[in-house]
Amino acid sequence: MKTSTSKNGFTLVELLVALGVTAIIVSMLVAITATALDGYSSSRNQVKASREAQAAFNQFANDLESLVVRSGNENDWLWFSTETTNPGPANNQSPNATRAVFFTRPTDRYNGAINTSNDLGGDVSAVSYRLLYRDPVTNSEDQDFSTFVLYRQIINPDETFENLLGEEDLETAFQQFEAQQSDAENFVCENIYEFTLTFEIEYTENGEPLTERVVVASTGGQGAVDDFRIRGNGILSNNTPGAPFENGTVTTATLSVTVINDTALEILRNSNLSETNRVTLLEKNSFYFAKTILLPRP
Amino acid sequence: MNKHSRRGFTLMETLLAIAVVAVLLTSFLAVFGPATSGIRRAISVQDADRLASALEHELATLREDEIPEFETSFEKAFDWISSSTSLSDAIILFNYRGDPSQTLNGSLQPFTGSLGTPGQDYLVQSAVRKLGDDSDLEEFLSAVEGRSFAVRMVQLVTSEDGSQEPSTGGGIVNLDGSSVSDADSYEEAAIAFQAEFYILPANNFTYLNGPLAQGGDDFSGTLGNPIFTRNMAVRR
Repeated sequence: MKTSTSKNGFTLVELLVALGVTAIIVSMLVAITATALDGYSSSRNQVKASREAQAAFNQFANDLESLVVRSGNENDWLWFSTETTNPGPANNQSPNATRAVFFTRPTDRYNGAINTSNDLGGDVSAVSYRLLYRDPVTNSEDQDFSTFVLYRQIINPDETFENLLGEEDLETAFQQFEAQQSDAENFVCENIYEFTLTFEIEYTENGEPLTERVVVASTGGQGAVDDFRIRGNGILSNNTPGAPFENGTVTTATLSVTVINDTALEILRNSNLSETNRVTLLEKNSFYFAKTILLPRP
Repeated sequence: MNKHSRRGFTLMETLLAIAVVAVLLTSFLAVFGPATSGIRRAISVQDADRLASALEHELATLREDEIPEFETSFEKAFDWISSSTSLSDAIILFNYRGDPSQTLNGSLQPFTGSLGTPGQDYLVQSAVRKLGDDSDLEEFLSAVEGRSFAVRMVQLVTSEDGSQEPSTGGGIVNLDGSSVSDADSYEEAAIAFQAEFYILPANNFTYLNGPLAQGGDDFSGTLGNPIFTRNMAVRR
């Protein structure tokens, strides 16, 4: 018996056409998938950065809008300064990290247990904000997991009354509380690469109303100061009296923050970048936010 | 007897497969596109919300370069609110890169460098300007950061049922409904208004001073619906 087997394979033309069609479909799929993934990644980074910034703004605005200042004394009521050593990994420190201590009326004093047996009286608390480079979980400067963390420390009214209210030098008086600043419960948000405050001050000079903006940063320039205080008898610039706006009114504080994504953080953590490369990296992986906070007028 | 049928795909089958893939890709994009624009819109709402306090402050502040035109900040606020219903006088809100080493009239001057380190070479600041004023808007827009917004402010008036509603007539009126031409003839201590924030499709001065300013009073027709509204008040 003769076995007939028909084994017609593809012709070269059929094969080429099939390859062509497959190539077109695959390239379309790759292009669309890449675009979708890029879009997803970009949106995710943007949403995360916006969330981090919003956490900082909400907390900081709530505290600063309830700022407590009493005039007619020589006490410090607000102290903002630049860090002497900016936080960050070796060679890639934050360019500016403002630290702040001031008095306010937070609703989360005594861990929010107001009018309970835990409420030891008083409503004026000192709060401190500080940007530190820490691993927020282990509270250490771990090389693999540290990040730029914004901490907010609240000192309950009883301790504030005993140790901080009525002090002429808030910087020195607050030193006794600094050890607890990076405790886990003080965590506000992370990936904050830069945290800078500017103040707008209204004052009069020779009867003319003037407006000045003071930047708490080590950048130099006409409006930049390392140390800014509101004292019961005036405003101190660089901890020295005599500024033209000494008797003015601080009307607003503008908080500027730069939030970096995890990619930039990883590179900053592990690389020794040149100035140019660092600027380029930040330009591509940073998100910038600002909020004007209205201060209570006396 | 073994019989092997080794037939390839017909043209119709191939076209059908491509059509199915195309439909799947199109539906994927149709879902992904609105999701992305939804995220962008949500972030824009947050941006506008943050800028609202800058607007509130600007209406309560009289800067040195505005003193020849206005005697008080309330006069300025009156002028800005009453004229902001026209796109040619719209209030523009944005963030910009400010140079921390240069301040003028209480504002950091725009950072003119192409690259720099945030917190050192520049700081992001909020700015509020009125379109149509002979101001520094063009210079500031050269350093803009992120989205810009146009704001239309409409006075809140008391309706028949006692609630506060946006005025439909434009301009500012007294409590009794009589129209007011300037701040001196306004009898109340405060102006309550609704601020509507519109996303600007472009940040450059050429667009703002050209197509936008020529839009007349038609904010919605020119810019779409507002993404955010907030009720505010300015006091004497």
